[in-house]
Amino acid sequence: MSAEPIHCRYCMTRREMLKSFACGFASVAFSGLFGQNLLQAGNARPNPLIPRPPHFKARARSIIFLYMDGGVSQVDSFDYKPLLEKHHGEDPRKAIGKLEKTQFANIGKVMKSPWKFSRRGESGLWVSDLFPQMASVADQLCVIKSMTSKFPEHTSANYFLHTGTGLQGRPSIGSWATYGLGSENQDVPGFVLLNGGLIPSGGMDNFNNGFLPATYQASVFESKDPPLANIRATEKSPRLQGVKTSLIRELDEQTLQQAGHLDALESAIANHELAARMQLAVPELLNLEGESAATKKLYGFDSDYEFTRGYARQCLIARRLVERGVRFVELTCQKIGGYDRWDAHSDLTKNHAQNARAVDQPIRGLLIDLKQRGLLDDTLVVFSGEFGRTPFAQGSDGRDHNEYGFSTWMAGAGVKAGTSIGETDDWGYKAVVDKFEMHDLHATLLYLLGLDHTKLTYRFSGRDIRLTDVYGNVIQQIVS
Amino acid sequence: MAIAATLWSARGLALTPDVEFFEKKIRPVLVEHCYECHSATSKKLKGGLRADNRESLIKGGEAGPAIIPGKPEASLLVKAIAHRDPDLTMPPKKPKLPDSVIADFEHWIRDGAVWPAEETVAAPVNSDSFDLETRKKRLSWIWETPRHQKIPAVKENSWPVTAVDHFILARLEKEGLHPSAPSEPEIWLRRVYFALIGLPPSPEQITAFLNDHSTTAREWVVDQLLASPQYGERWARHWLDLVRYAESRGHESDFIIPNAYEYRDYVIRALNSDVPYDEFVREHIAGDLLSKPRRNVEKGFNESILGTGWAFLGEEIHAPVDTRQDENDRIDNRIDVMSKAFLGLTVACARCHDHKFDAISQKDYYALAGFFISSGQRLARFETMDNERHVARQLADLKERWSTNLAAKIPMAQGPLLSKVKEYLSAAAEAAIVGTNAPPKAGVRVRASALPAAITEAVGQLAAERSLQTNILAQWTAAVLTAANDKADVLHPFAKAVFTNETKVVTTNIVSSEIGLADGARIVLDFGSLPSNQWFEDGVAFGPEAAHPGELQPMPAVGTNAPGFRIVTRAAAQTDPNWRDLDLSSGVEREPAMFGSWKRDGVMLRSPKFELTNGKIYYLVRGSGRIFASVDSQRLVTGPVHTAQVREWAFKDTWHWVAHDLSDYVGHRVEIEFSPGNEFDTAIALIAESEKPPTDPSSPGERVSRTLDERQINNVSDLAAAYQDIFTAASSSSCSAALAGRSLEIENWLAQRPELFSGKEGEWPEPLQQALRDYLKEREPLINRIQWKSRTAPAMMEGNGVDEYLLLRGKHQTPKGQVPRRFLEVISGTQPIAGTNGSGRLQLAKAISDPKNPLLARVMVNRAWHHLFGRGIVGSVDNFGWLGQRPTHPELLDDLTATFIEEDHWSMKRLLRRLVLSRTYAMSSKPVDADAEQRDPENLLLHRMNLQRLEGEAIRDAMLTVSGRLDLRMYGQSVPLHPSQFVEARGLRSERGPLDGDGRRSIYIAARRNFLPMMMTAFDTPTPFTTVGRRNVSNVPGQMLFLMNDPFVHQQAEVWARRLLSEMPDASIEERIRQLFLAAFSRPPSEIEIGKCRATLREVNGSSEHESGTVEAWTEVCHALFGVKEFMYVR
Repeated sequence: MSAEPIHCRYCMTRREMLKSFACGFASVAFSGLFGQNLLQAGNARPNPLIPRPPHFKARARSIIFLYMDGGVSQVDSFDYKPLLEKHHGEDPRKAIGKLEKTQFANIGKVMKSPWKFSRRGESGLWVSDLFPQMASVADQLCVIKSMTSKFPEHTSANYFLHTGTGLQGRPSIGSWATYGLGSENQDVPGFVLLNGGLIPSGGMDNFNNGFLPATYQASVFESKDPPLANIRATEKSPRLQGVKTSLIRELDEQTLQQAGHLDALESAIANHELAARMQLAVPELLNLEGESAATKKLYGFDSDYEFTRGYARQCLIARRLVERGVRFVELTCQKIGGYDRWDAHSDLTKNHAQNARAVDQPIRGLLIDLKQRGLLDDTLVVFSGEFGRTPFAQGSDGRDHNEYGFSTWMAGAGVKAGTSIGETDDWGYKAVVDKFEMHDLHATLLYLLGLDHTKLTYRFSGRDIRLTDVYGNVIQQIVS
Repeated sequence: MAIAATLWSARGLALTPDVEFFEKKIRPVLVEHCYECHSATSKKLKGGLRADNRESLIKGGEAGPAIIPGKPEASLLVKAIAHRDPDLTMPPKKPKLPDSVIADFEHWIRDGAVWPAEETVAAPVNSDSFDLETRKKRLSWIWETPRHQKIPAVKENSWPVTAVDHFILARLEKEGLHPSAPSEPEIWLRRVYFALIGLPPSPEQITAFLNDHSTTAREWVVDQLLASPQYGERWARHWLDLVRYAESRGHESDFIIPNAYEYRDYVIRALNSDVPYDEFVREHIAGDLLSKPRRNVEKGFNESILGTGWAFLGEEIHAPVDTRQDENDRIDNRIDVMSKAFLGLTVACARCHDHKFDAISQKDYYALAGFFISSGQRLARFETMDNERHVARQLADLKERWSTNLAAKIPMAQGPLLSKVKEYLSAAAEAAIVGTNAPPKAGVRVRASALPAAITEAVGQLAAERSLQTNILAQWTAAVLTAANDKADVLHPFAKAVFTNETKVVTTNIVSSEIGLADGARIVLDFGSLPSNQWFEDGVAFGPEAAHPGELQPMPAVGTNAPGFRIVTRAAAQTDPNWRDLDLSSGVEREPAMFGSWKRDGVMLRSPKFELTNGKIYYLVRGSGRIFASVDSQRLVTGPVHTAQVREWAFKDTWHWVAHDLSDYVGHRVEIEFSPGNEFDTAIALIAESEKPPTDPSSPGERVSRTLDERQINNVSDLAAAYQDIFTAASSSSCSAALAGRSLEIENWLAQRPELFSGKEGEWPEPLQQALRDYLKEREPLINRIQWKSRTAPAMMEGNGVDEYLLLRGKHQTPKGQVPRRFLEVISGTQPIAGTNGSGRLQLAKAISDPKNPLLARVMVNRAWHHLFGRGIVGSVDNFGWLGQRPTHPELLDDLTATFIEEDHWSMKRLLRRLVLSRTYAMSSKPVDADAEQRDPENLLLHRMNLQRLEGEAIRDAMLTVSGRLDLRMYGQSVPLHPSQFVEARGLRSERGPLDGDGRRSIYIAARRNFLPMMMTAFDTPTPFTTVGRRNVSNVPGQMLFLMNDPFVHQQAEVWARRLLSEMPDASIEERIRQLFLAAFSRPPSEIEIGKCRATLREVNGSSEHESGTVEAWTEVCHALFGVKEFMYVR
């Protein structure tokens, strides 16, 4: 699937393109326009977002990535380690042994979890009281307890999680997914970032197209109005907008006549139509009036905690997006006053409690709602931070970054519900059984989308580049 | 199949039974089951094993010998085909071969593995083994120096006007194609305007051109454009894509790269003044080292050094935990950018292994890495540095001349008093204890003018009684009081005796070794014996070399501004106080890191790099100063992780050891940067590494104690007499050249206390005082020549030559031997850079810009072609290697390149002029020839011109141009972003620029790595992380949404409409529409188009009252024109 950048990757004929636009409001004008020139179809410039067949049968059509910015503590959530209780308060260098360098080099005592762990559901998965709501749907989760990263600080780890390298400038996994598969809905973007308000360390480059064409960059939606930059028509009236649109269309047609029916020009004109349709489709998407009170309640719209309400809105919009065929949806965290992100360098209890309170019910709601609507069959939900946290304290009551072992879960399409794989050591410090890398996670996500990570390549600066570089193995154990 | 078999049969060898067995039973199996992966014809040789000849089987592959003749049971091949080892089963993923076949192989090997003699076919091209010559041959064209080519003959003789046209036409004719008709003149004009200056022609310029019927009309336009300052801005933007230009470091907090814009301005100026490309490249590699740097024509500052800033425009991580890995990544990026931008090669692919395809070895990579490791970073005072060097040289000469003169006058000034020291000290001892005042604390200097009244009175009386001078006695009394509690003071033993009546001198605490280093300590660096080629200084404040013991340094007397001098007591790097007022111009950006507030730029001394063995570092220093220990050349230190790298000290005039615990970085390369403290009185003698802490060297006071201890002292008077001897000895030694036995610290103590000899604060007796005044007078004009304030810019700084290790698989944990620094073997051979203790970048610059370098010029000519014609002759402009694209017109590119070097002397302007005045460039882009479209669908042969979409920058600049808002002001700090509400993340600055960016061209809008303007990312401005010579051209709805709804576009539409109405108040609607079309599309409207616009105006107006249109109505029309595709395309 390697290719010249830009144009020649998707071979869509003009006829196909015409068909794909035929339901747009400008179809009449365009059929005339394209009709003149179909003879030269051999040289067609394609629409790069047209759906593409996967390499093999896809398990998932869409992914919702619940990005837990800052790094959730595994030993306080999904990775139960009784030994921490036993050795609570001891010097970790003595109890655990030699420790790796930590970001803040401020090593405190071994620290037990402030939350109680219990086995949940029929599967008996361990989930702590940090996530009581998620615990109630534990039977849907597939927890990987042995994820690792290579970077102990946020930005590199974020880039690694999102793009497969620790440096800036590589395509995000959502970009790779849309590059590989296109988008199932031409009226909304294929890769959407639902920005909760907290763009993670490393900035927008976590979600950028890197060297892939700009077509594949994330469109940043916010849970406010307008949700997307420049999406609202700015003309005073729809009539005025219509007048201008038709003037542009007519002048474009003149241009085509004068300049010749060049593919690039025609694609640009088609792209204009797409933008116009998106202008209508996107606000509709964000309009939640049609959602029932029960649905909203399920997500937590009536919570008395504003950040639960905020994340509930993000999760519900995420469902509406995958419903409409959006390929990859990522949710970022919200700004929770004083406790932004899961980055609990101090006061772990309060930090994690508040962050968990924000996401717990909405995530449960999302899983239940997706299931009720049959969407969970082809939607994969992924929950992960960029790394985990140390089982010993930073200072007195925080936890530092820990890239040596942490928990990630998936639910939905293609994965075994109610399972857990991999293990960390007795302290929850380092992955020891079935240790997985980011590359493995990426290979798996692409696999579930029906893509072979070794074949999804893009030719850039003399190499056929992959999301997984030269690494990565599909985590077969979790595939249902 | 069976190449070997064919060769064999061709030879017609007789078949022996062994050979027959081989040919019947063995070879066919090998061919059928093994050759796909293990032969000369393999696409990729697996496991490094060839099974198509006997030697290779015996030699084996990665797993070892495949066969051992005579020993089938020990032969891997048998193990593999018999599936005896589960990890090695052959053939892979296929059923096991029949047992009879396995038995045949056992038989064959047991009998000696007979294989008939035959020629061995060369290794497969994709073999993992690296052979430079083979690699070179695969793509020999790119490794040959470009030469002039024969201009091809053409049939259609009347068509070509330049050599370019001949090459293009000849190729078209070969395919039976014809060149397209010429474009309309106004289309050509728009094309050449955007190509050369990135802006559209104005309606007036279009009209003037259309009315110019002279034969040189086009040449005139092109010359005007190339002479326009906007040319440099347009082509600088192309260049900035190559060096991943940004003004911040990205990563978590997007810290600034201070004054990065100076590099941008350098590029613009260099292009505008048409600096030859080879020189431009030399400046990039070694602009800081050129013996005659290029000077700014107007302001005279050093231009060349600015070129080196490119290296530091990449991403930088603050506080990486693995600093060595981080250094490797930074250097990897520099190699990547350097090799792609200048050479069109992907050398960075050879970081972990030899290049998979091209003639570039892993050794090449690490040979280049050494240049970067040996070249540090700084913020150079590029405006003033050369002047500072010049003044410093003259100051050094002046000092040289005057120190002899001054030294000769010291005995005259001190001598008369020294014979009376005993008397003065004895009297001072009596005066000092008058009254109930306790002596001051250490470090407080008592002034004679401020003595308590009782003491002053006693001084007066004693002086009268003993025929001493009152003012001199007062000074000695003050000196005794000052020394009473200051153990380091030379007079301390005396003063202590005065106040305690204890004349027994205690000499404990005095260390045996003068330096005080413990056993086993290692002196890392002795500044006193540092060779001059290891003296790495940014600026001149530390002088050209270490100060030497006994050296006399004219400087203000301690605590005053009066002329004075000091005597150097210890070999050390030492600041020259003449430079203490150096400053930065206002607005100059500083390092954001932990040491950002320090005064460092242009006043910094850097140690050679060395490797930390135990990391416990000690510096022997005096005065005050600041230390930054750059580990693995990491210098963006913020946050809690690397605070250990920063250290400050502040002492008075005595020597101390400062401890610096860098034990976290054992095994890492470090360079220590010293900069002055607030007092600008900084001296560093030694850097040592030691397990045990050293003891401070004895202070002058302690030394005197030691001398006194050797004498018989019974009372204060004895002490006073002893001091007279000590002072006399010290003073008399100062005029002799002999260093041995000199008590420099005592000498220096006296040198800084003229009042003891004159009775007047800060003033020596004549004629020494006069000599000092004369010295200052001579110094004054030099000081006046110093330009105190300067801008700074990122630049390289020379360091000691360090060869990088070859890192297996690119990992720093597995270093192999060091690779000597050199340029690429395939171009310059394996001879290391010779004869330098520094980085060797000058030699690298020479090698890279050698006209024989096959790639430098060719790659640049191809880039120019790419920008003008929309596609390079080599389409993959950054990669001429195997995975790149092959040239469509190799002879043309070679011929152009030879012309560029030999006739154009690397002039970019001449190259561009040559290209845009060709007939090829003037062709229409309109596809009219169906046959040509069919046969040359990608227009690789240029049967017509290519349509090109403008870059985001050019679209924005064009909007500003047509609206009239464009402000052509050049250079300087970037205009801050105007982020929309959708832009937010850590590191976003609070300062907000105006919506229209002050009307400045896009190249002057802030290029923050994490916050590229939304419009630019939508229109494919690349993320600045590596060289991008060919931008993507994508179609994103965001582009159109931007044109439809962005407030900036609306704003400019309104500005444009207002301009139209104010400039053409009385014009007809048609005339106005014509003006709008000329401005936006560089052509007049057709009747149909006028009609459409009129109709829209009517619609928008809604009534006939304003037949000619209101501002609002015209704004809507202007806004619509921005959305017409023709606006953002060049035909």
